[in-house]
Amino acid sequence: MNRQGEEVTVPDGTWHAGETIRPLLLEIEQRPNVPEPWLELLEALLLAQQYREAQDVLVLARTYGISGPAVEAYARRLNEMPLPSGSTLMERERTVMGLLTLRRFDECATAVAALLERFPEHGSAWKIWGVILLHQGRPRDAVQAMRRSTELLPEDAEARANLAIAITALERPRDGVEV
Amino acid sequence: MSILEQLSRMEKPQAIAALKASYADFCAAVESVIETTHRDAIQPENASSEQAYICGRATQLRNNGYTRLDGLVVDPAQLALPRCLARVLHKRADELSVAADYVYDPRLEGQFWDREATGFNTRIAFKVGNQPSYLRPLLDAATLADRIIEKAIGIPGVAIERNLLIVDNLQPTDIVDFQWWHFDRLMEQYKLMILLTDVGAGNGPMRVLGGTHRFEGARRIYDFSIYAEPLHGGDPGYNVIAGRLDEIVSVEGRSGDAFLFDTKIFHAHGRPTDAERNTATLYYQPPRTPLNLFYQDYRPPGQVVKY
Repeated sequence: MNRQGEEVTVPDGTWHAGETIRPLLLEIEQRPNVPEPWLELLEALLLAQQYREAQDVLVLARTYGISGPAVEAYARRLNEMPLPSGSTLMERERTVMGLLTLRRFDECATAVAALLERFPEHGSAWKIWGVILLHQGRPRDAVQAMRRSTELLPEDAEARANLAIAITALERPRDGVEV
Repeated sequence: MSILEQLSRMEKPQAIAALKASYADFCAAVESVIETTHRDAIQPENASSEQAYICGRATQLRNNGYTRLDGLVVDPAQLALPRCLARVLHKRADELSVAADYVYDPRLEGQFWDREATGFNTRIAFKVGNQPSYLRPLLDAATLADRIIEKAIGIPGVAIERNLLIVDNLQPTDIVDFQWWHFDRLMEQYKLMILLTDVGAGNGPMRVLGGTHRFEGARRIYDFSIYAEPLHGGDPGYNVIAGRLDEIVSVEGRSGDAFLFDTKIFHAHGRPTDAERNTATLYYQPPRTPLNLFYQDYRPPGQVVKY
């Protein structure tokens, strides 16, 4: 029900402003330069294993100038958080995506390499591999990986866009138009 | 033989040249596409109050070019971090010495998309790249807008697709000169603007002139000018607005309210005088309506501005 009394169904967000974090969110908004509510929010999110959410909050907190040993400790904890692992395709994919989301690129590279070794026709894995290579400053290798991803995922516009970006990084924009 | 049949029998460059050369032919072709486009009547799918709401808003959107979705996000806690992001943009842009457009921020993983180099417009627009998770509630709430847009378009098989999310920060200023009245492009396209702060006369509300999205009256010559001249900006002159000042709608409201509009409508954001204004705006891809496809199909070479 909105303020006009009209019934409106809006799906719940995956960011649940639960009772634990609701007052923290409101307090942060009122006093964004005060560290304590940020730190408490980070703690609450880590306890709830909402790592992506915690990562995003950490970035925003730092942009407000929140810093110091406590913040760095949370950053370390986030980097050391064990992600679910397993041997099934779905478990491996979840691990790769989790590491990518947390920008743990080195670990992600290892996980993707293992995934590709087992599933060499996995288009999304080639896509992620290309992104990692680009991030590592290896655009020539990235182009190869991304070309492979566009072959395996011909309908994937993002894969093609990634390829164009990588080719541009190689300063060969004409090739980018062709794809 | 209809103008569209005539065009279809020509080579594409010849057809484009014909459209560029004749205001009458251009108008006839556009009107023909509009007239032959069947749009479903806006009718509820069931007797629920939600369907009634969607249909009511879709009717307004189709007829007036805009509609309001008051209370789209009602939980203030869900607006807290999006508002924090919007409020820090000015500081962050200064830290990065952003003086113009398209500066990528590796920390926030987005792009400062628009900062007026001239200095009279205090708007900072930030394109959220790797969307932070705290924006998800806004995007989830926007599914209601998706359904309203689909209903308003009402053309079977024409799907809508979200494109990008822009978070805006407008700082208060004493400088009178501000944004020109304008429309975004020739093609039908929708935007959902969610107010992150309360918006009133003092912090630069968006203003629109209802019904100007329709191909009639003054906008016919603007559309033709844009089509015919590659670099023609084609913003409506003040003379167009001056005679209709009492029709201007000012988008004021409370945080969490939203405003959905076809970007063809003549619009301009006002000047913030007392406080900053923060919004998050979801841009949709131009839908593949017959008119948008016509414009794509007969796109003049080099035509980029407002296309």
